[in-house]
Amino acid sequence: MAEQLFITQEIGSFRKPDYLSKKFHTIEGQKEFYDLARKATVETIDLFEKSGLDNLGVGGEMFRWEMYEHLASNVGGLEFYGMVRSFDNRYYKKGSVVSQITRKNPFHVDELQYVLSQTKGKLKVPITGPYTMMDWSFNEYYRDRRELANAYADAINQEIRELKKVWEKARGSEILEIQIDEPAATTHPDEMDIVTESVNRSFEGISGIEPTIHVCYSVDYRYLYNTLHDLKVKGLNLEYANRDKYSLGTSIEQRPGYADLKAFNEVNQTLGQKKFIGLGVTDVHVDFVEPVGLIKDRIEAAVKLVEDPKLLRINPDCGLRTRSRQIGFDKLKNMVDAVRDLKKSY
Amino acid sequence: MAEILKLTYGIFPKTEKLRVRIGRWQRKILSAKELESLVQEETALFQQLARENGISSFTDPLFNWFDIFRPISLVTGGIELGPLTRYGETNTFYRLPEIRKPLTLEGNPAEYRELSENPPLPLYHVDQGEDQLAFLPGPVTFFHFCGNIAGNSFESFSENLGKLYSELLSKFRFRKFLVFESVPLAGGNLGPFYKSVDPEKTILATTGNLNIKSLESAGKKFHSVATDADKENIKAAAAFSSIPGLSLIDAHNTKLEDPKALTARIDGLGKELGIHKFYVTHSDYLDFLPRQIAEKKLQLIGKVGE
Repeated sequence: MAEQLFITQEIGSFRKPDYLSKKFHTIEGQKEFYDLARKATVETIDLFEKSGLDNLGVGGEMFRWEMYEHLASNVGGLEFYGMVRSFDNRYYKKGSVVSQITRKNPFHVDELQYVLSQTKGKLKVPITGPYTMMDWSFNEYYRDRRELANAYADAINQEIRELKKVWEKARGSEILEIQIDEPAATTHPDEMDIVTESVNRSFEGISGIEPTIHVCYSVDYRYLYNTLHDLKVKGLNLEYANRDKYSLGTSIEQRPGYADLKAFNEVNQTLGQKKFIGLGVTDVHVDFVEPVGLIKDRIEAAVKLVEDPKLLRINPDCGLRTRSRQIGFDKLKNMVDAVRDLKKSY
Repeated sequence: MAEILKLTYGIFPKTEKLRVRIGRWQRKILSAKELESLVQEETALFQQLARENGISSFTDPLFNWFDIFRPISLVTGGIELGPLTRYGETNTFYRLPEIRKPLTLEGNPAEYRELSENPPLPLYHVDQGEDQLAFLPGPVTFFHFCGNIAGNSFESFSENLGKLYSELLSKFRFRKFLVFESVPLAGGNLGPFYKSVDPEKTILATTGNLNIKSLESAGKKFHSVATDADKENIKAAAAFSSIPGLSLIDAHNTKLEDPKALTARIDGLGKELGIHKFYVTHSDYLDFLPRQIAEKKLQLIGKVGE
């Protein structure tokens, strides 16, 4: 029973080694790209294993440059006019939907095939969600936002079906974990029905998977919690550490970043089948490596609020790609060490 | 045909050259002085672009502002930078200004100054053209998007902000200001703010339905009030400003509007409502678009009414 407690997991991305990141765009799709992406994947899986992570994700998403751009470049119907700013001097390619969305190429099949060939470890495949793809695209073609989100959902559904085939070949009947990344999920509170509809549509008709959703930097997670009756996911992997303090303590007052888990718990208690929380315990936007004691306090505070420790998995707030590989590793290592310490008391 | 004045404001998307140089500055490969020199050059090119396209009034393109609050927060005592926070319903993030004490201006924002978490000052790059406006995040917006640690009321905060802006503007020579309210006015009392910032010199660019109570509370007519272009809004904007403004260009979609169709629409509205002069502008600042589309939108604003 104890080994099921506090499964540690990565959210998705991890900093690429320079040999890959510096050449990524110039060699993408060529043999050299695949050689380097594979090399980086092996090194990252090794690093994750050394940190002690239970779930290795897909080895830090070495085959993908960025969550929106990767999927957008593999669907038909988009035009790119240039980069759009996200924050400070960070930019992403935001596409304009000018015709029907189609799944032009597989999004993550090559990546999953390779990761499966390199490890027998627990994996989780992150896929950018339909609502976020819609919200981060300019819509010049579809009648409204719902129609566009559902068009992306159909393309994602095709992708998951193909991933499932690849998975079954390697792992048989083992459950495939699919994490739909929806950072935009709560940005338009009056569109939570579109989030729910399009995320559910992404999984529709596919069995043998564990669907989860990752959301981060929401102004209010309660919008998400309130969808839990309808949202067909097993768990929510969320960012909390960014909004928390560095001082120690396990009370709600001492852990303001985690206070709204109370609202999660209120909804969760009303569900026939409870959802788990993937608890963000390290902030991916700062180099400060959270000490083991602080992470333990965050988890303990969360346990009090969700009432059942089995409903917690432990992860960074988001992908660690904005930190150096060393800092990313240090953060993961402390996270794992905190969990190991805590497990002794449960 | 109504006279049409053209307006652009707020952060304008950067060229790739500037983006690369800012990246180098962040990695300490480029000095702050070298970056500032390029910001000046790029700003001059923007001003040229605006004037060539017949834009009647424009703010600094704010190429050295990492977000619409950051440089002001960094030159103001009483504000500390908080966490990276999502900006409204967008995929853009800003550092939360945490209001901890009364606001006081620190140093001269018109002079070159290196900042720790933003490219260097000056706050605005001005070439003394009469067509230039100061860009000011409005009190409703600032209050909405800040962390109000000090527990200020909206009135006391906005009075303090108005005084801060008044002092800040005294360091520059702007004839008019653009106060940007990215959230609807929603009935808030604007009086305390506009005691220090003259409404008659202010273009108020906002969104949503205009709130009469808020507009009345400013105490004087604005130079212009620009918002979503429906008839009720235009009537309110005409009642509370000298020149109503129409936010007709979508700052969140790459689809290009047809200037002829816009001209016909404005003509119809002018005749129906008996209004002879309008500002035409965009629905938000243009930094949400790729640079090449923002330039095309600027060009098409220039063609409205031609």
